[in-house]
Amino acid sequence: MRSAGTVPEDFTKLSSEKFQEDRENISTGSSSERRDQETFLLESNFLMDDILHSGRVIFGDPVTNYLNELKDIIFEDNAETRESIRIYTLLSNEVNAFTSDNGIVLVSTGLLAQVENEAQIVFILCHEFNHYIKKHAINNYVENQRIERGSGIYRSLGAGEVDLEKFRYSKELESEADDLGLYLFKKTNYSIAEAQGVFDVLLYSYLPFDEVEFDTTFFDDESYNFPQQYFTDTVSTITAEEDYDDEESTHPNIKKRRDAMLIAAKKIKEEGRQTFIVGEEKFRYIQKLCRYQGCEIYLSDIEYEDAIYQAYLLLLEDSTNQYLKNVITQALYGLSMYHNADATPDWHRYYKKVEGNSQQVFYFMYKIPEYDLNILALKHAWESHLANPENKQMNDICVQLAKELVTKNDALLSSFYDEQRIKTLEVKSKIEENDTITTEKIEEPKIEKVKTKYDKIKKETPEVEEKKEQNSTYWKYAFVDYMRDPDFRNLFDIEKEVEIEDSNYKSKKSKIEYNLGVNEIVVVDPVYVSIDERSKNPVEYEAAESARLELKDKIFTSAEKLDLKVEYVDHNGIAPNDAETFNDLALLNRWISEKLDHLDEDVDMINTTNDEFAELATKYNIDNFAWMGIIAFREREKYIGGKIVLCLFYPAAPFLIYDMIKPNFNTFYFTLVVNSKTGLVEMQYFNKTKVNDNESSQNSNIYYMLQQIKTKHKK
Amino acid sequence: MKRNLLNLFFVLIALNGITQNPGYMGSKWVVYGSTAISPALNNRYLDLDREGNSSVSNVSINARFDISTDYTLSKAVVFGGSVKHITTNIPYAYYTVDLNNAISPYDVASYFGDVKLNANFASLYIKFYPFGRRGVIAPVGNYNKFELIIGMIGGKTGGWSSDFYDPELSRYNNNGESLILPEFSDLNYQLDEKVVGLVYTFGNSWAFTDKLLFDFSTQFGWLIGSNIFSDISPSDNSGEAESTYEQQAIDRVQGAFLMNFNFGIGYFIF
Repeated sequence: MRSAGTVPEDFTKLSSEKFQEDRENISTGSSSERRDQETFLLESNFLMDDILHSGRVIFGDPVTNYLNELKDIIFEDNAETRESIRIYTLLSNEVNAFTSDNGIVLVSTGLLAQVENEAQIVFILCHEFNHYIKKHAINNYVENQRIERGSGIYRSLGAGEVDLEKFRYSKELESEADDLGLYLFKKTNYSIAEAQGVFDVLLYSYLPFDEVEFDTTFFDDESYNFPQQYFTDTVSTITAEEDYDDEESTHPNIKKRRDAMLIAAKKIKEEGRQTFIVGEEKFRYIQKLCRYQGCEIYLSDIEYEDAIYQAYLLLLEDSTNQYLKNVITQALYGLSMYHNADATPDWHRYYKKVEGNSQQVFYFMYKIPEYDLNILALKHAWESHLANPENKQMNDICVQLAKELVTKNDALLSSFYDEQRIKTLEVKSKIEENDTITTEKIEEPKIEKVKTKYDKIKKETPEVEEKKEQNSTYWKYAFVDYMRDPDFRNLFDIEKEVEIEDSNYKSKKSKIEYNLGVNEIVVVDPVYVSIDERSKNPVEYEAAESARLELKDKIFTSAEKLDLKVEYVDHNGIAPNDAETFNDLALLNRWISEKLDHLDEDVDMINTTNDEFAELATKYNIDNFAWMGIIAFREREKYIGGKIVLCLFYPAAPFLIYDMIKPNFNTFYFTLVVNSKTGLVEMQYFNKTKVNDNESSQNSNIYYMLQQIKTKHKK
Repeated sequence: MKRNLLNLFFVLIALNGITQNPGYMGSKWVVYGSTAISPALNNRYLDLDREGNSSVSNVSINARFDISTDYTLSKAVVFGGSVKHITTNIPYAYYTVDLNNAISPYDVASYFGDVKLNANFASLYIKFYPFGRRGVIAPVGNYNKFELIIGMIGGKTGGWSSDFYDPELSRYNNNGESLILPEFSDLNYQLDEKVVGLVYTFGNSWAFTDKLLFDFSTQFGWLIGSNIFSDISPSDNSGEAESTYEQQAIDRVQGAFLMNFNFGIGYFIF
């Protein structure tokens, strides 16, 4: 999904300007409350802008447009509030929606993928809109500060009661949003009865959008069957409780919320109310979009098992969909690369922590050996490649998986070669071709359309399957269909590939010197972070924004001296009619976010959106993209006691006193240069300096970073 | 010595050839003008002032002016040279010279008064910017500088000297046996030996615009032959007086190098 239409000011206006505007509307109160409100507005504006610029928030797309239609229905007779609220879509599989103090409402695709009908999403929107109308976010912050300070009625709180009081206040606001939300909802013509299911959506939000048993033969074919030892006999039962202890929760538990709604709903006439007003067809279309988008999000979030299960669920309705097959291929590729690198992202879920049918996928990926998984991934990648030979990304994935198979898993092509088996299959294939009666049956997976996810959860009883015999060389015929294909065989001719790869490979060690010999580069939205740990509010948002804006000139000045052509893309420079550039930035930010996750785990793999990234090279007519940034960090001087003692040596005293007074500086300069055509990280430069981020240090480092991009390697 | 310095220079040039050398935004050659001030730590040679009072304050300041030029060889190394002019003085000095009965009835002629010292030095130095340890990139940021200096010291009559006809001073002129000379140069002392020393500096430099460079540093130096921490009494033995002056002059200049605070402004030539 991509943004379209006019770029809203929310995405291009400087955070400091938004803050200044909001500050003028600060209500009266004590000086400490006004100060708290200022702090909140400062932080919330900058943090919201970080989210808006993350590449995960889109506007003008079908989902956002649909949500705006719902908003128009809710505020049919209240134009002022309708106009003041801006809804955008958040590309996230979290089932969530949240509201900023200045009227931005973000609704996740994960939420839309899970709700059962339009009435449910409208109820959630009504709840969120009331958070904005009643200024809950800022009130919550100010009250939390009062609780922490022990002001007024909070004076007698004990140490352990402070957090509980904060939770209590938050729950109070959530209940108010529910009550007022229902009041707002009542004004619409949506069905209360249908909306009540929203609490099941919230209760089971940690599960995929449907609960369908995973077919353990899903990865099998005629010659390649996985032993059942890789699958669990029973999956974990779903344990979600609606009446959980909510003492340390920001929201009341589901039971309390449901009960409150049921009581209130009794007073509302259900007659004449509708489940869909915009339309069921449109709702289903939007939901499908969100579910498909969810696959991509899982891939870029390195949640590969979830991606496989989501694509599996969607394939049940569209078994020939190549996009979904490619999702599974990319997920297998990611899993294989991570297994081979012996890496696991921090957020990865151990299969025992997973409930429901998706656990089967987690279990399988946990049990399958690296070698076997590599074969499975390559097999799927090659099939995806054959389905669309023009897809360069899939071809690259095949090459890399074959290389991994040979170099890391010590496989030989001959291991998969069985002349007799190939001939048998060829003969069989000819017979089938000559057979006038089509005997082939495409086995359609069973689709349970009547039961919803929530019906299934409530009635589920796990089935036990008999275990098949173990076969340790079941993979021998994995590639039997392709062994006569010279292109496939060439994948295993990797000597040359290794050499090319090695010449491109750059060590991750900091301060290594690069000589890329690049004449043109796109600089993407530079980062500037300024943190003063000595201060009560350590993040210096406004100073950092101002410094970030100045970075542009510094980069151009140095680039000019180096005769390096620079294209500069950042959010603040986007024109209102330039949604294309916004989409480019969104793609670039998502791409780099995924790449950084891979780099963190030391996994050298092709990103999910490499093909789209490569298209940007054509658009900008520049191959290389650079992410640059500065992080300035100040903290109190350490070891002061020792230095005071050393001052007894009086000639050294002036220097030691100066050293004690000044803060400790740590300024980090970094640049990541990526060739968009290859997706390879060409430069990963990092310089930690122990000096402050003054002008000359910035200029010096920026020039040096750009020099390494421009200068050719001396041989 | 020259050969070693040349070898060092060529090694540094060679290093420059295999690593990136960003300089400051591409500028590598800087010319500095700088001044150094330091407390005059030298001993007083006569412990009486012109009125004959003792316990006169020792406090005074040495001033030095340098012109130097730096060339950035790599991210961490700068090579350079400088010329330095130091003016200081030996206050209330008393020096004698044998007359050998040449032109007067006196055996000895003496000069009593301030001696103004002018020292000119040239130096070669190398600055190390701790790119690896602190991440700074030459020629801006913190540095450590090691400098080899060589120079000559000359003396002339200072701001005050005794008057030949001043009866007040007769008690200093060896009971009337000494001829009081009005000018220090009349002693015909010659300090023709070259003075060599080593200076260590730590400092910080930062750029202003992309043309100017400011530098603030602290220096510690030692002249070979300096005897600054030993008391040297004025010698009544005229035969030793010239070497006493020589030692005192070196010590006095040493005072200007021993520890000082240096402020300089540089200009990026290219």
